[in-house]
Amino acid sequence: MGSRLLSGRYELLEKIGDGGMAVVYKGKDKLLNRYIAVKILRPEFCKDATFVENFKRESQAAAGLSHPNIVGVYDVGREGNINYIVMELIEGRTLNEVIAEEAPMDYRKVIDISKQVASGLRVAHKNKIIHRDVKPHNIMITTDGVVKLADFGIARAVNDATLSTGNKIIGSVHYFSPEQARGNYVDERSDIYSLGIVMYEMLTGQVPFDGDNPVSVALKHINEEITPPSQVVPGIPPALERCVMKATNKYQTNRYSSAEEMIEELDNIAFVSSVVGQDLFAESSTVIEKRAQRRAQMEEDEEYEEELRKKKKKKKSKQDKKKMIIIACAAGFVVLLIAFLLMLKFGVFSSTKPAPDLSDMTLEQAQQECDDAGFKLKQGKDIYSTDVPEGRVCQQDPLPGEETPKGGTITVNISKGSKEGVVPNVVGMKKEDVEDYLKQYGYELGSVKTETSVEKEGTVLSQDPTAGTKLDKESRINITVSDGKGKEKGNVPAMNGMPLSEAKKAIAAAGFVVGDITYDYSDVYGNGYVMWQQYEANTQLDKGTSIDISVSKGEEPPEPMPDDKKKKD
Amino acid sequence: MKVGYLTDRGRRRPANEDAVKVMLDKKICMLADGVGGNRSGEIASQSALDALEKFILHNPPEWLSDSDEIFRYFRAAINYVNQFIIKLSEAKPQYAGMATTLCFTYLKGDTLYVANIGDSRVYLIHNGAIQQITDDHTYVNDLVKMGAITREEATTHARKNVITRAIGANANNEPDCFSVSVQAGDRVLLCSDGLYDELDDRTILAKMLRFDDMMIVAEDLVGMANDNGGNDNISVVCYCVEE
Repeated sequence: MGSRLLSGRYELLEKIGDGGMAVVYKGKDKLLNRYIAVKILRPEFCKDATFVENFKRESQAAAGLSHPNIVGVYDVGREGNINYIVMELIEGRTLNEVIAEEAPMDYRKVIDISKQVASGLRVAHKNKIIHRDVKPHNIMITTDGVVKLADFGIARAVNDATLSTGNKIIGSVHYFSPEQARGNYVDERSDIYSLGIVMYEMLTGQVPFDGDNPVSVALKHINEEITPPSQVVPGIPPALERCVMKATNKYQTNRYSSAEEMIEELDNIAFVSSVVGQDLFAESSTVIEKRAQRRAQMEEDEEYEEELRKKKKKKKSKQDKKKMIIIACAAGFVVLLIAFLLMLKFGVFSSTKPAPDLSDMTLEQAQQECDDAGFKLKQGKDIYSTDVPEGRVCQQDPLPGEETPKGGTITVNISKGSKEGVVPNVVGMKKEDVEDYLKQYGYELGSVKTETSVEKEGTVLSQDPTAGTKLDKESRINITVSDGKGKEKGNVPAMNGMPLSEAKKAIAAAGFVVGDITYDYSDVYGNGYVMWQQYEANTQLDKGTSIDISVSKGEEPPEPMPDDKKKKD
Repeated sequence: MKVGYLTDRGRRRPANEDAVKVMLDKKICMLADGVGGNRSGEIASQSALDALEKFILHNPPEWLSDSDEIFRYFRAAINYVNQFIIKLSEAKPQYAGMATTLCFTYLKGDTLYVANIGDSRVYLIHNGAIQQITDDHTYVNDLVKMGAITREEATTHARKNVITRAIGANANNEPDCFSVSVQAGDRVLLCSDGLYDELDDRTILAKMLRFDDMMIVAEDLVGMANDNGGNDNISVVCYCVEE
């Protein structure tokens, strides 16, 4: 392909990538004399007019985006049967490779990369383009450290075209937002979620949700809470962790409303951490563990954090006025330092604080409340409650208002909802699956009785109480299972007059086994033909029963030799 | 056994990646819907059915007695087909990653045995009612079964056509096996998603009972799916259970 010029202008030099939908070549633009990347759509996608149309439209929209953090699209074209896009050539690595080598990454680098990705997203979102497939493979990092977001719109083109491109085997869903997983309305905040997941992976070296199949991963995105990254890798600044948790909130409305807002937050975190220094953050997590020895130090930390939070809240309403923030933060920092010294001097420093009221809150809200009030939250047991809806706090220790050491732990028990449930059906299931299945509904497995039956061994034959019964959860459900030893009945085939080989097959086919075979003279049946069977045809017998047969060895020789005659039974 | 079968490109797709095959003397019908570009979807579906036929001819199923044995046989057959497709997909670069759905039915006495991988379906029409025997191995159907989304949400899901199991490389290829008792007069339908995406169950039921000639039923079903859009390849195998 080396000498070929696309549209009389682009020379293809070497293949640099091979994706599911397209092949990417390094090329040279002869007109502008610069190196470029040319992405050529795979021919099978070209056959589909709708797909090509979408691909072109979206690529052209992406071509309208000019920003240092977005891979530039220079040209979209078609020559004969070849559909291609000409793009900025990036010399560097994908974030995927960077994560594989460096994660868990330094949080400052994470902030830097995330801000650049968010900046790219901000421009796209302003132009009403949603990426839909933000993931490390689509984020390039140049040798100069500039982050470039790639593959705008292609995901969209594919989605629109799924109906006409037919079946696809499921791929990775690790960076899916819950709304994408559910197939609901997707907007800017879906990209923010995916970016949050990418940040999580940069910070910890792992994605928050993984599983042995894509559906289970998607379900986790929908249902499961994300383990805070600091529990995976210690030393992550709490403010940054909150940023990741907010970006990856299950509800679109609880996330950053725009990339802009997220950038602002990341700026704050970067700024405060550069003023306060990394040590504070690095230590804050270990300090909590060694609280006894390092109490005083920790209280200092908390004051800083408190201050940090206040500043952030004030700032949120403001626009990006960097100078103001720097002055305010610096002033705040000085005031805090003075206040802190004064407090120390006058012994005002109280070491306890009333515990907040967490009742009826979701775990997330309670976590937020505890964070704000400077306590640690611990999830206790899940318990039944008829009054408190499922998933909400129904007990806490210490109680609301009780004096609690600052930074102390508040344990909350979460309601599992009402105790009464409906017994599910387990009849027909395999024994080993029953226990887990019942657990899903809050029931326990009771006694297991075995009964002889033709059902496969271990199949549940009956249950007590029966399905549909209203019953308190945690009750035991007794089951009866089959031992598989029950005999199925079969019909004895008619074999008289059959050749022996066929009779054997007929016996096996009817589920019986061939018993003794005796040979005898007969002047009715020819040599090798069955002339007698132990049970009459169509007798009903347990399968597996043996059936004796006797087979003719032809006519008796002229001289009768009674001694030769043997007859069994 | 009176059988009608038809496979059609539909109106929107450049090629037909479906395939059907009927082994009348064995009372086995099969249907596959290929996945993969560069014509490899066509190769995958047709080769899968050829491989399955070969397996069945070499290992006649007549002597199998109970459903246990038949299901074991089905699994062995599918394993064979899967190995065959994987080998084929490694043979040529343009075949890489090709895959196919596969469903087939085996009528033995008054029992219908069914094996399925992917999102093709088997329906049974019994006593004037239609029943879907197979369970779609699709991402959205899994979500529905787990209660994550509703059936209504599933119909508009952007990833409606994403399948979770298939014959071929890089896919979960564990089949579902079913047995269901049938009686004379019952009708059986195997179809690809190109049919059921265009026609609802009620329409399919009405069409299945409209004519006694199964070939006409097949043409009728495919024709109506095309009239409704023909967005995908459409394939059907339908037959009537006799005494």
